[in-house]
Amino acid sequence: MSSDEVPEHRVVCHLDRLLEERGMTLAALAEATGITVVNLSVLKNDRGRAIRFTTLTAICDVLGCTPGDLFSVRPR
Amino acid sequence: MRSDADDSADQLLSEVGRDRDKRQRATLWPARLVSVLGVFAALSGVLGTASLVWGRVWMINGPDHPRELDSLPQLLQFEQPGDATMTVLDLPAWVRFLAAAPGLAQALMLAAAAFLLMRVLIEIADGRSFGAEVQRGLGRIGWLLVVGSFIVLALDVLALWRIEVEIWAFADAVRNDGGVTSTGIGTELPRILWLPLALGFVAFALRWAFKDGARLEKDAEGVI
Repeated sequence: MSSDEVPEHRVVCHLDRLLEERGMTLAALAEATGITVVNLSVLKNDRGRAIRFTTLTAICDVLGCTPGDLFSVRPR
Repeated sequence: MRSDADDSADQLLSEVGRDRDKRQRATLWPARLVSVLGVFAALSGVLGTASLVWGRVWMINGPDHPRELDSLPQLLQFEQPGDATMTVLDLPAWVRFLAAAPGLAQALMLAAAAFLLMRVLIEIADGRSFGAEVQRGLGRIGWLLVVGSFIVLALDVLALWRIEVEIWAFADAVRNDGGVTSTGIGTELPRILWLPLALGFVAFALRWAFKDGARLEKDAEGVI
């Protein structure tokens, strides 16, 4: 693998399910956390490559969940 | 009906647009200025060379007359041989060109650097600050300024040596004709373009800085 290639990850984000369980929209979460809708959408659709601890903390605070609820690793 | 998500997206787009406008104002005007300066540098180099090779001073209202020898960029002072008058026209045309060559090379180098810098600034204005074109441009500017500065220095040393040879040959000819010679010359130090040289090294350093920036940008892609 060259240094330019990005390794595939198997992390799956469950933001859509958590939002649905809480009856919350992406825009409302964006408003509450201060994270842009665009970034939240990237996260929700598993297109993100990394997440800052500050972002994770803000989402978990608003949704009342833990990082383990938000993410899981897909089996090989 | 517009949703909150639409409003947030609009706000984000508006911020991005404002950033782009600021960036373009800060880079496109300097790019235009740099291109005009580049054209002037090239023109002044060509005109200076033409004037020296022609060997005469252009007079607006009166006859052109031969240039004095101490108007050569390499000479500070020249005392005429006692019984004869030596002007720039007494030097062979190729030596006159050689005398003008450092100035011409310097002007062309600065014009080329200005052109490259303009392209770099346009890339930055378009939001591709860490793109490969900017890195390549900075590398080319670095090489151009460093190598060009040494070429100008070498040409200046060569011209100085050749002009001295011609002057002493002229003085010898006057003496051989039975004339009295008291020729004296004062020369400039060979021109070391320390500022373009330093800017060349700065361009090399910036190239590495932008390379690091490109890596960081790649690392930050997809980070939320």
